Amino acid sequence: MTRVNLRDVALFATLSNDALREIEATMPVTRWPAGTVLFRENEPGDSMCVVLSGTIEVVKAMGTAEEWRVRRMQAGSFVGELALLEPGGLRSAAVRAVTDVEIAALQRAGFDALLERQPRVAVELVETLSRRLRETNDATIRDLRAKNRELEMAYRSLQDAQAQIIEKERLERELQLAHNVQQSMLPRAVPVVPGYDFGAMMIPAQAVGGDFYDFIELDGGQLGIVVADVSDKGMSAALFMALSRSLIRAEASRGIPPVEALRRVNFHLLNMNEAGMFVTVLYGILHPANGEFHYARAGHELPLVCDGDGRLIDVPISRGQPLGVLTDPDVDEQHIHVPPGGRLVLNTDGVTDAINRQQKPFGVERLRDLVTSFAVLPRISTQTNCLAMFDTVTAYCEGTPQFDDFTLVIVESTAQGNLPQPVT
Amino acid sequence: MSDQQIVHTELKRCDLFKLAGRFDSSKAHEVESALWTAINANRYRFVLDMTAVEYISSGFLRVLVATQKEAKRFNRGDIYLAAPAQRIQDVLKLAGLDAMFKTFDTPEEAVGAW
Repeated sequence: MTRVNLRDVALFATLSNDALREIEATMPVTRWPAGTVLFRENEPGDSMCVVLSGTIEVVKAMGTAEEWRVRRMQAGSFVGELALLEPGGLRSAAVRAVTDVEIAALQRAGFDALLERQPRVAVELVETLSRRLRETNDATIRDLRAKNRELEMAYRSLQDAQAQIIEKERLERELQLAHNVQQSMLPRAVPVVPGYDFGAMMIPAQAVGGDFYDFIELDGGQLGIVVADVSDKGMSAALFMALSRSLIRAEASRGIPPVEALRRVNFHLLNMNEAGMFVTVLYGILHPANGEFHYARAGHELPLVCDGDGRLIDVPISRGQPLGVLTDPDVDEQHIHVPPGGRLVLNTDGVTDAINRQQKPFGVERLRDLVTSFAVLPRISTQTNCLAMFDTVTAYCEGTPQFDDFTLVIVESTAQGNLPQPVT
Repeated sequence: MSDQQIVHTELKRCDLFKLAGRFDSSKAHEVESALWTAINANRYRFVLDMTAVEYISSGFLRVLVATQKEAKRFNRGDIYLAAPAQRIQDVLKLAGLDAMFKTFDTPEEAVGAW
């Protein structure tokens, strides 16, 4: 480390050798390790320091969030003179040793005597002070400008964040509206048909979904039942759902056979489907008088049917393809029978694909078991049954977020089979 | 589960996409953009290696159908499926889409078919 003599210190450059020796004798030299605080801001000062070796730094607001290093000073510089220029003067900043330092301290009395006897020292002092003042001013302005820029940036990001929050709130409101519109497209209530009880629910995974169900009253007391799942989720699926639902309702209301209705829907969808969306549909007509369910299945999940004792009845199957993508899709057409006291369960894959924490899906087998178990429990309303099945699947998921729309429609025959019907 | 669910390799005669894990709606969108990046580079012959695919959603089926439509335009390509697990085949079959996609037992056979 370079060590300087007092002679090398600019402040004393004009002193004669005698004068310098005289002053040197009054300046004890002390050594301090790096990190030592030599003096603190606002404490009374009664000496100035000449740095003989090492580096010090002048710090304002030391130890606070606003701590600001005014300057670093090397060997040969002096510090602490300001407090000596006024009686009872306080330190204007703290001084800290950056490295190990050697300091020669000049007490107030020696300082006063020096200035009195050596006017050149006073001139040198004033020059140094004036230079430091200018440097500090410049630094303050630079610092203020930097702080201003920071503030401006903070203000801008705050404005951006606020704009984002407003936009997010707007989108959320829109989604809530879309959700309400979509829910209002679903039947407000389940149908009332003597000898049957119905349950139905659609819970979208997001605000809006691609699943839907529908009940359509047909001539002759027959009931059209639709369960459908638009590929994908979110807004695009919801729009395609609205389109598909209207088309199916319009075609089904003509009372034509299910396969024909779905083929017509497919024809319409093909002409307005650039995104490659498709919809899987199961549309069937229930004949309440004899429990017959005549359905057309376009790529959709198979229906589940059980008798009054919960025994599952196998349903025949042939190829059925989704609507909206093929010019001439295969549609699986079947006639099945809901026995007295039995149930028909229609679902979308959101029920069977629901996963638990181990990512294991609920699966068709568990759904089949669930349908069987509810059939042998004391009777509850079919809508309650529907909700209870949803609760069972939700419990299975152990809090794993629902990622697909969940749709369940249950048709329950409340007829007593071979038992005599009560006379009303 | 592997971080990399979609690994794309450009081969001489076709593009191979090795898929792994669960493909729900959002993951299906990632497959869609990967396939469309290739289509935009005028590449239309695809092999999807489904060996490690655990689940596909209806969103994934939509991606298959929509991309195949684009790939097959002007007879310029197609999507071949390689080594789908039984449950994946069941999903395709239930949706009636099994006949729409040529399926091979191994990725090598599917790539070799191009």
